[in-house]
Amino acid sequence: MEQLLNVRHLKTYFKLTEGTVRAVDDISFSLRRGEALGVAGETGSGKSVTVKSLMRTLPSYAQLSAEEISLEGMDMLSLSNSQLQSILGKKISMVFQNPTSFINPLFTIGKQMSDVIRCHEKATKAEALARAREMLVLVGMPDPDAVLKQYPFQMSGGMIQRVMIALSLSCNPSLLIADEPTTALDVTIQAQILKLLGEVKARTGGLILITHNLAIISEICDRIAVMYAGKIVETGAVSRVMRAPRHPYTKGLMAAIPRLTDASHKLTSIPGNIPNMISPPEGCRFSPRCAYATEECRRVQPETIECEDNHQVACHAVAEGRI
Amino acid sequence: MQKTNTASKRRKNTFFLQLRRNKPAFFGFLVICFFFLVAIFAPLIAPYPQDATTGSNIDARLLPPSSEHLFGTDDLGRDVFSRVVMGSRLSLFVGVVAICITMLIGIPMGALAGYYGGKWDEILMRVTDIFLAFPYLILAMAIAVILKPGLYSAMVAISLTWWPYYTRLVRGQALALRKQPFVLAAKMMGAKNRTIIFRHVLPNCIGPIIVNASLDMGYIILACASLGFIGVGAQPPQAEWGLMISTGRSFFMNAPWLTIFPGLAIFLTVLGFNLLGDGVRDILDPQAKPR
Repeated sequence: MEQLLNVRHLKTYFKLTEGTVRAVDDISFSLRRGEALGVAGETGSGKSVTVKSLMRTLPSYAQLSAEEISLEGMDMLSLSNSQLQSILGKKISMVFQNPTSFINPLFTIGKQMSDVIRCHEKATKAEALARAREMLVLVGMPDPDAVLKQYPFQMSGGMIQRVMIALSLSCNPSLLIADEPTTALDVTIQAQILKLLGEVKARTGGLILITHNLAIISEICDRIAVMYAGKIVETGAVSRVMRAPRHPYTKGLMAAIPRLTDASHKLTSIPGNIPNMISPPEGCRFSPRCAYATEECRRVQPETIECEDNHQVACHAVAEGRI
Repeated sequence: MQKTNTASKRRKNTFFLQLRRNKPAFFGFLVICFFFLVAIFAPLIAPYPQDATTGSNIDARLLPPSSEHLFGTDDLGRDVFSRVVMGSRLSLFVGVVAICITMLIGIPMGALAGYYGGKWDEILMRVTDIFLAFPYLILAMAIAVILKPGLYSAMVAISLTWWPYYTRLVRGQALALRKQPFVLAAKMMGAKNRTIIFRHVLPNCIGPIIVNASLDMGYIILACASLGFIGVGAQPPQAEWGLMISTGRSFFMNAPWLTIFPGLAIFLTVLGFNLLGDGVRDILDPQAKPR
């Protein structure tokens, strides 16, 4: 399959007076056309910063370096600001965590949607509105004509999230990024939005879904990348990683999912907390919390190895065959 | 279609209803409406419209209020009522124009400073500091004198001293707004800075601007009257309220109507704008009542 997105050795550091926060520290991943990648990890593991680095919408005190970030073979690192503006929203678009605060409260849905369309394509107002309506129909919005004339405050969170998905799809993006798209919604709406994301996946070139909910990833995604403290610790096909996780952290995450079928199963948690990102552990960042950690783990950062076909893991214990 | 039409109509109605319910604000609104009507129909209301400019009648000097001269006459025998009525045109005109110029300068400056921040912010804020360091009346006097005393230079002087307040106001709003998720979303959707400023930042500052403008209308009319009183604003024989008080004050002991009626006019307009401004602030304040 054709490569859609290629990221190699991406590092995003935040220079603060207290020191440098290595929010994303040397990660590499790629996305093939038509694939959906789920990025999982706890709060502060660098999921959102990764995405913001891709879109280059970081605050000014952030430092970004990478060997390669390319989308459809185009080098994203060398783009000027105006070139970037023409790509954001058209080639890459994004669905956000808290839809109601990501929409301007003063204009109607139709106005805002057609603005985005006209920002990227030559279209008259009427054409843009017609396209907006089409997109609303696509995301299964009942009564799209009324919605176009409504203001955000007249709609519920779930409705607005649908609008946001319609909006992000309106210029046929190659890459759709969804940053915890269901966190702010209640459970029944979550299910609808996830179903919708699963359906629209086919319309985009590729999907990156950021979440800390592993169930969502297993539902929608083809591949999963597990992040811990700014590093990708394990990637692979969802079915494989979920069934047989190799990295101790991923194992811990899986063990923390409640099971409906097994009443005797006790929920486990991973002891300890995510490390201080200004002075992270010298070796493997998970080593202070890891049951398998050795002296080597604490001293040397593990290499990413291919433990089986299409399944990479960064762990000394796995590399040495201890687990 | 039908549904949304009625919805927007209902929203407009609630604004007006809230204004009605807020008694002081509605009183202010009525006073202002009254003065605007007077200004529009001034030549029809004033019994001696020519008295506002060139007219004089030496035989009828300093007459006390009577049925013929409602507010009495001044030292040149001009009808004070006619002059106050005609003067409403000057005062409201100055107020409206000065506030427009002020906003035209102040708002874009504030949006630039607040949205872009950094160097722009630093430079513009220091410039506003310089302007704000002077008491506004002194600065306005200086500018008005340099520009040759007159009503228009008073207007320009007031605008030039007033814009920093709007720059500050809008800057503060823009600073908060540029961190808003929907501004970030617009950026991530590829919107240009210009689009973001005009679509997302400025429309969201409009509430505080309206409140401030309606409050400031009163202060600007007062400032203009003050400049007229000092002698660097409107020049005789213009029927400007401040100037009328200034010329009338030497006759205060035996002909108080020369100062009382223009003073009352100033008082009522300023009061009206202040009451309305306060009311609008209460209505638009999302803290007081979620929109």
